[in-house]
Amino acid sequence: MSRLLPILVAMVALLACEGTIGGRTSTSDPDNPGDPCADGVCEPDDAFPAATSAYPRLSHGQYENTLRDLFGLTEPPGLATTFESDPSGTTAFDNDVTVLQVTPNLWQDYQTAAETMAERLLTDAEALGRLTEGLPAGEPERTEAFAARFLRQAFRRPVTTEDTAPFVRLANEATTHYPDAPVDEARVVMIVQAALQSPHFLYRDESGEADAEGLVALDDHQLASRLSYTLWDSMPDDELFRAAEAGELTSDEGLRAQAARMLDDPKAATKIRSFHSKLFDLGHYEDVELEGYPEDIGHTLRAEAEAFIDDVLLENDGGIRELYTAPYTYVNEDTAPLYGLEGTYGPELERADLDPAQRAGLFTQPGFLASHDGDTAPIHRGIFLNLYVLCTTLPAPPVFDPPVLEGETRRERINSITGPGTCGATCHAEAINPIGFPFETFDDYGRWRTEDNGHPVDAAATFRFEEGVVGFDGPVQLAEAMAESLNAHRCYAQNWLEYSFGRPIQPGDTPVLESLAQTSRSDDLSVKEILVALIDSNLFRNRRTQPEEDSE
Amino acid sequence: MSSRTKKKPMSRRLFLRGAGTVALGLPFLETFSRFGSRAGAQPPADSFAVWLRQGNGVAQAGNGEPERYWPRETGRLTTDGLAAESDRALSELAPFADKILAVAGLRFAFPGNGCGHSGGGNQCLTAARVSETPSGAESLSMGESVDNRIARELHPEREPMTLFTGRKSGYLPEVMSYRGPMDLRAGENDPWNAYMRMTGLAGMDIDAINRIRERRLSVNDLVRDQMSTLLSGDLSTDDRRRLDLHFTSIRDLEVLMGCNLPEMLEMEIEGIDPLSGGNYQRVTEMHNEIIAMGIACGYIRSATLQLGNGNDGTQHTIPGYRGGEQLPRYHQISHRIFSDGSEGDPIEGAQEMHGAIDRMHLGLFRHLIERLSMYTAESGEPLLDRGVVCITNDLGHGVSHTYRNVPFIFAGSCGGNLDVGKYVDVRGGGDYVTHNKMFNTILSAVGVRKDDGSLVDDFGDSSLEGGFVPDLIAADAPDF
Repeated sequence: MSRLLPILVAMVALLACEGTIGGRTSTSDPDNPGDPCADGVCEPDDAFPAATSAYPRLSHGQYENTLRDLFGLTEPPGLATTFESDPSGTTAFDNDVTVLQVTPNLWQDYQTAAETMAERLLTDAEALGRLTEGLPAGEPERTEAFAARFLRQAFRRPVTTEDTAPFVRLANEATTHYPDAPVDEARVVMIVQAALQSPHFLYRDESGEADAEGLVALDDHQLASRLSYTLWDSMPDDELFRAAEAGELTSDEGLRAQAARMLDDPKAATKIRSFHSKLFDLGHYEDVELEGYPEDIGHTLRAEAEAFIDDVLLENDGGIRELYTAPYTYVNEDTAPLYGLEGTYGPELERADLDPAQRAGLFTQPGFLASHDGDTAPIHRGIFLNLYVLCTTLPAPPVFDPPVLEGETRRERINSITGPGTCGATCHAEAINPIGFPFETFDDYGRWRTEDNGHPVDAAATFRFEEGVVGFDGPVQLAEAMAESLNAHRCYAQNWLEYSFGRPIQPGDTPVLESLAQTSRSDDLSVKEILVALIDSNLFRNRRTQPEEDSE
Repeated sequence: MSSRTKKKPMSRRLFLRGAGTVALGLPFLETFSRFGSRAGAQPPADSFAVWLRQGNGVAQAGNGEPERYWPRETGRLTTDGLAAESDRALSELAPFADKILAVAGLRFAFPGNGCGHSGGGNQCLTAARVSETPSGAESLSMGESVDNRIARELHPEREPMTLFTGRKSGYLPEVMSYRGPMDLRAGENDPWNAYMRMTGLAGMDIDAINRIRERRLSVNDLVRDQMSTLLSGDLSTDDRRRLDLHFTSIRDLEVLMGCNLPEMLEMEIEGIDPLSGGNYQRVTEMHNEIIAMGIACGYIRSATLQLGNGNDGTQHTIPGYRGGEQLPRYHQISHRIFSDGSEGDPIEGAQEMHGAIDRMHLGLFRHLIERLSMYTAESGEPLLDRGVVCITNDLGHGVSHTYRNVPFIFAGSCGGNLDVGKYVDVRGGGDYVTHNKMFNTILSAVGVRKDDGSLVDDFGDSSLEGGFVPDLIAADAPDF
């Protein structure tokens, strides 16, 4: 089969480009006065909080989880599935607050969802009973008590009479709006639907007085919300409300204690799964189609990756060293042949030990290997790992005329235009190709191979990690090199920071990231330990104000 | 919820021409009336603009490949003449040759920033620069898009309808519609969601609607008070912008009585999987139906429909083409290889496939033209003639990812302002013309004016030379 076609396009960096390796944010930027590491010395306490919104909007996922917990449901109600989607932000995640806003379409969606939730309550005696349990019998005491209790939960802060009075007035019109409903129920659902459209529900309130340096110290309830959305993507529970009201969260010990408690909750596991699914684009595995395999092989490959991540990170409390190097996985009768596994497997995924000379961690699984278009796709594999595992800065590819590819193996052809001595050397020869070529021991299905186009596979390469140049031969050694690198540990922490805090990293984060990278590498930090470290930093307790509106 | 009621009293404003003679029949549109807007009566759909965007360039001549897109000669278009050029994709529009204005010779003014598709998509409706940061596939436009300008000026009570066909990839989803610099508007890819936002309450009885209206008024008053309080506090510039958008997004109830699609079509829209590649064409037709109805009802005057991702990887199946086999990923076809990147096995017949995909997209554009032609405006003209629809692209050619000769194919004359019925190369033997001038021409033709009441001649980046594209303007254009 012919494999040569010398057509190049500008989708990927191929020719001359000027790259930097080692993270999206420089660890030391003397030209940036805001960089606390500008003097070359970084301590975690040197970090300073990011300039962020005083009113970050809930993401659609957070909205769903919040409704679940606000109404005591077993599952999210599914109302946000038809919401107008949010534009992509600059992180790998869907909660980048810099792009979350309320547009006319989304307002209409919120309105409809609130009305739908109210209608559901009118037909769900159990849910309504949970909301109204223990209320006084007479009016206006009953409505006032409900408003105070529900709005405290919905707004995630104490409420005053000034807050509740407009809702009580609205409830007094309830029989007009719901003439067919019992008056007590009508009053409740009227308050509920208005609360769900309130900005105090849709935004987290992180407003406050700034000090002379522009820092806003978050109060207990603001910290409770920040903590619950960081760890659970949802509202605080009763215990967290209690801790906030007791003033425990503004102390280091109180905050740590709550974080430790919350990390043991299944909601934290859901958040950890969601993080890896988004970061490693596991949803894309669903699109994999392999000739000769069942139609739903993509779904199985995703399930394999998810089971492996659960095993490593949640059941065994591991970190990225295990995630990137563990020589086992989960297979069933459909995927075992991709590994060359012999034996009897059923339809259910089960743990299987793999040849440690061939397989190491998540990126030697067929889901990752087969999900990049273009045969073995060493460039795509290399770009993905550079961007999402090593956080390498890959600058824009240049405009160019299509060059001619030459060589027998895929590696030779790519090297003919991007390798050492070519004008594409900076990005490709030093960054993309060395990370992509070791995976040439796998075909485009993710099966082990030793030959490419009749020639022995050359899977050796070198990469300049922060610690220095490291050589490796094949995917297992590459995985081990990545797992040992500061680049990978910092990148993982950086992505957790972006997902946990719902914002892109900023220069003031650098000291915390540096510390986390070092500790993660030396101590094999687990995910939970990384999260605790982020919460324990001064990035978490404060917010820096953004530029004020110009006065005219 | 009450069950839907159908068919309201006959409207004098619009009626359907040719009902029952087209594939879907559209017997539903014997009526159009508006009801219940607190924003005051809308003007009739006097003018409008709809922008469709196909990705990945077109199979026009270039990179050693033959011409499969444009007609052989510029000049006047006729149905017979265009139909005779059956080897050119634009022949798909032959039935509407006298309504078409096919414009070649335009270019985007600015380079992309790391991703040709992102840079092209960000410029195609904005004529603005591409952001330095973010870059690559995350790059954004530094200006407002033309659909937003039209909605803002002609129909400020509603944002432009922003639709999307297909599954959104994580790499590069929507690229078209911008409220302003770096403020990208998300596209709705489920036609049912778009339809329900427009008509969700239209089938309810009047008592139920009135109850909902009153309830929403009360809730909205409460929310507006809360928003006003927030806005009166110390806010950053960015927070103020976001909360302002929220505040102005709070709308009271409007119900488009009588503006329902036929029940069978409603059911089909509700049931279709909008993310399935196999439904790409049908979902696009549904979007077309919704756009046309929205314009006819006065619900919108500005809309975009992005066809596929920024680098559209849909695997199309085109009825009657290659035995109905599923084609390789469109983005790879545009590269002519089985790869989204630089090298891979050649796709045999890739340029021909690209041409077929161009035809398919132009067929979907024709479907929108047909739908808009079925409505008659109060003036007695086909509704299409009161506005303009356009299909364009993020690139000129897929292989080279060039921003030159990006096709802009229009239909509709904006009330006689545009010189329809011709194919024109606006270079006229000279250089490519930056497409901001085309936008100036269209904006002015559709009725947008500058603050001083003069024609718009300065859309897009301020560094660009202003002015119009005279070739697009009819000799007896009433507004020029």
